[in-house]
Amino acid sequence: MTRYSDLVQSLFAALGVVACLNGPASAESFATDAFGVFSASTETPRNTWSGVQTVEDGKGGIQTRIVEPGPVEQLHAVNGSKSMVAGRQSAEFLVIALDAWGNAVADGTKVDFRIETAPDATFQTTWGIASYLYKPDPKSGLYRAGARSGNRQSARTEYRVNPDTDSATIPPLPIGALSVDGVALAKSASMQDAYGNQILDGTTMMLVVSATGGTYDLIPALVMQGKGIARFQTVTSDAASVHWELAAVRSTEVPVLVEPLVLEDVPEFQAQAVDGIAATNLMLGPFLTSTGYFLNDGTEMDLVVWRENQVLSRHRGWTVDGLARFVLPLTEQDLPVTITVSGRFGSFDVTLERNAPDEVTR
Amino acid sequence: MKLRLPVGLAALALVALSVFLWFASQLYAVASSREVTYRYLSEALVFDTSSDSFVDWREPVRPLVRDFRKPEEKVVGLALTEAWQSFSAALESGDDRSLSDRFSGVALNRARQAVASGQDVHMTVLETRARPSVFHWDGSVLQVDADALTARFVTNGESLEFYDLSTDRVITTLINGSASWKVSLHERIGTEPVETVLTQREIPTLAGINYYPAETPWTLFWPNLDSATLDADFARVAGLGANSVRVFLQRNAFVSEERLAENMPKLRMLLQIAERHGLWVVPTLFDMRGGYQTIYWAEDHHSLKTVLPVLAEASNVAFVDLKNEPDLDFAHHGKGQVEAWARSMLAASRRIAPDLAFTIGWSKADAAELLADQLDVISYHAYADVDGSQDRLDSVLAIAEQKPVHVTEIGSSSFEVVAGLPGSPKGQARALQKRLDGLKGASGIFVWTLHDFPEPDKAAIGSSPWRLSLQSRFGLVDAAGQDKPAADTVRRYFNDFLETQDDRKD
Repeated sequence: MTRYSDLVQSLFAALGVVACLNGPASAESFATDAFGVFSASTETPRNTWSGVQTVEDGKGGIQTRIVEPGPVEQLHAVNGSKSMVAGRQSAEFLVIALDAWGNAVADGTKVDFRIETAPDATFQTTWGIASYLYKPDPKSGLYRAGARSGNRQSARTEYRVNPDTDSATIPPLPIGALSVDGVALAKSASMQDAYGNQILDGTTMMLVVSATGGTYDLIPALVMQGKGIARFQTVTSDAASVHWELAAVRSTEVPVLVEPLVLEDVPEFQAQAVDGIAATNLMLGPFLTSTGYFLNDGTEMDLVVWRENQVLSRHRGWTVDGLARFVLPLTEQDLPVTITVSGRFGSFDVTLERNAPDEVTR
Repeated sequence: MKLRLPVGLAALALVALSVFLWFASQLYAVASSREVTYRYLSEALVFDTSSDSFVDWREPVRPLVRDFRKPEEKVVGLALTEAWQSFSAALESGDDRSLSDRFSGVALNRARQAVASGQDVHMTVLETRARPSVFHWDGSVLQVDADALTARFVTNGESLEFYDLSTDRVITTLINGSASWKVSLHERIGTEPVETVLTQREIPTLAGINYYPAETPWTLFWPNLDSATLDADFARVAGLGANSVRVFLQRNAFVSEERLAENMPKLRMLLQIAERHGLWVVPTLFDMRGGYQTIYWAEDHHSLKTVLPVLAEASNVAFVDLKNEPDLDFAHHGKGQVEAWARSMLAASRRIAPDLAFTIGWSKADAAELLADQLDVISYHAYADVDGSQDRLDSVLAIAEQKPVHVTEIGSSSFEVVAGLPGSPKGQARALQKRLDGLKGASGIFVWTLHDFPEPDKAAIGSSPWRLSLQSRFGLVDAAGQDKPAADTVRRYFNDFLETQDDRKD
């Protein structure tokens, strides 16, 4: 049981000589320990500090004494990791066992470990430390652990087992028809890891909306009540499918249908000759969707200016704040012309005539 | 009578002028050097600790739950080093406030109690060889099983009341707190005293010169060392009939990793060039050392671990002078503290390089008794009254018993103000001859110094114009590179001295 039993003999042999100083012998006798030198002739708490001490014997020699630790009085628990992934990670419950004076207890002191989701175990101390490396059951939750030695207990510690998101399955739910510029809500069914643990609320996920052209949108999503939820605005009209991503896990693809964009009405326009140059300013808009919103900024459109089946010019532009503005190379002598405007909202014609009300047709 | 009076008055006036100049220079020195409270700047920097780790890590005996890798070795090694440095500093200052930075729990409580036991108690860890035995899964607890070379001593004013240098086997438990690793438990489970075993190495008879280049003495020496100057100067030393040089390794040039990397190749070069000229070398370590506070001892030990193996490898190192004139530090740092340092460094040096011989270059013969049993060669400097030279040497020879006694510095300045006062080149030769004649029985004699120094280093000499002037003219070779009369005196004496010693051996 004593940690010093096999050291005592060799220590006495080795300590026959410690540098003895020349000169008059000191009246005071000194002792040494792990923290330096102290007077051997006075009572001191240092005589309770376990370990090897040397003491001057008053005859020019040095004696060795060993202070043994007392029985267990304190158990300091260190349990970690505090948070583990179910089925994958282990933890170590380590106990530092001290006696009433703060000394590490004698080697071989038994410590019983009680861990809520791992088998009980008993280990012996070495240099005051006993430890238990355990792998908790893969059921997620918050659990407790403690240790006992003799009639002393450690403080209770807690540890958490989290679902193994890398082994989760994500059952996607169908998404109804989406409308461009509308706000959509996507959900998954309840998600569980390989051990049946529901994925924790607040876990971040990603909803990926893929378009036929190869582009995709990444939508941040969260787990709520075990289900993935993403709320997003549909900005593309050619979305083809969506899937969920949670850590390294990817769900199957779910096809989606995006209803074509419909303008609430044919937009108005204004045309005005530009002073000094052969050009006309044309402003179209506002472009309002059937749901009452402006078309997104940057919605592209193509213009073809033609007259009597002959194309005069082609132009490309986009909306800003619901309006599209163009400078066309037209003078009053070029009129009348027809301008065909086309985009993902469909197409319509605008007719410009000399000294006559302009006209828009669809 | 008419002629004698003016001559007498003139002589009196000259003496008065000399006295006036001397007082004026002393006053100027005092006025211009208010910092002389400290001999060296580093004395004022009590808590200027190194950021080097002095822990050598060994592989664990059993596999650990968590790998203990190089980054952890560095961080924990530094934490352990700083823990014992802060403990050493707290013991010496009596101020335990810094302990909580590096200790916690039971260890902090015990360290504080130890500090409270009195300022005359000292402990310092010179070197730690550690092996991790427990490393918690989450990296929060580490236990190491270590051998710690530890010095403990008690001083009482002038004397060293208790001294112990041992290799302790310790078990140290550290907790990784929010800020850093801290020593939480520390227990000594074994201890083995470090015993002194003198070397059996034969010490040669030495006729030598203390050496610095003329233009780059003291602190300028190592930064500016070049092989051409060494080659020319060592040829000149050999030409004086000398068979050895005594050189100085300033502590600051050989203590940090950066300086060691810079200067160790230069030290090798110096030894090789000396060997080419058939010269023995007496390296003098820790020159211009600042304080003797225990907080610096681990650094000193690290320096020894780097420097001594190189000296041991060289075939022309006669012996090693651990420290130049440490007895001059008694008044400022306490004899007990200086002695404890010297004892520790000597014992540590013998562990590192058991085949090297060691001495300490005491400034006076009176000090030579101290640590005589720990030294292979007894050495001192003979600048005291020349008339008592032989008596002082005889008393040292008696102390040394059969060990060789080397007088590693003798010298005289040729600095002249007027009419051969206070010295002159011829006076220097006469003074050296008289000194040499009074050192019969010495196994070695070294003259200070080869060159006159146009600009002696104020960091070494101080700022007194008088002292600087005297120190600038101790050379056997003047500023123009010409031999002074003393060079002939020394050449003749060295030839006879070495011949006589050879005859005795035959």
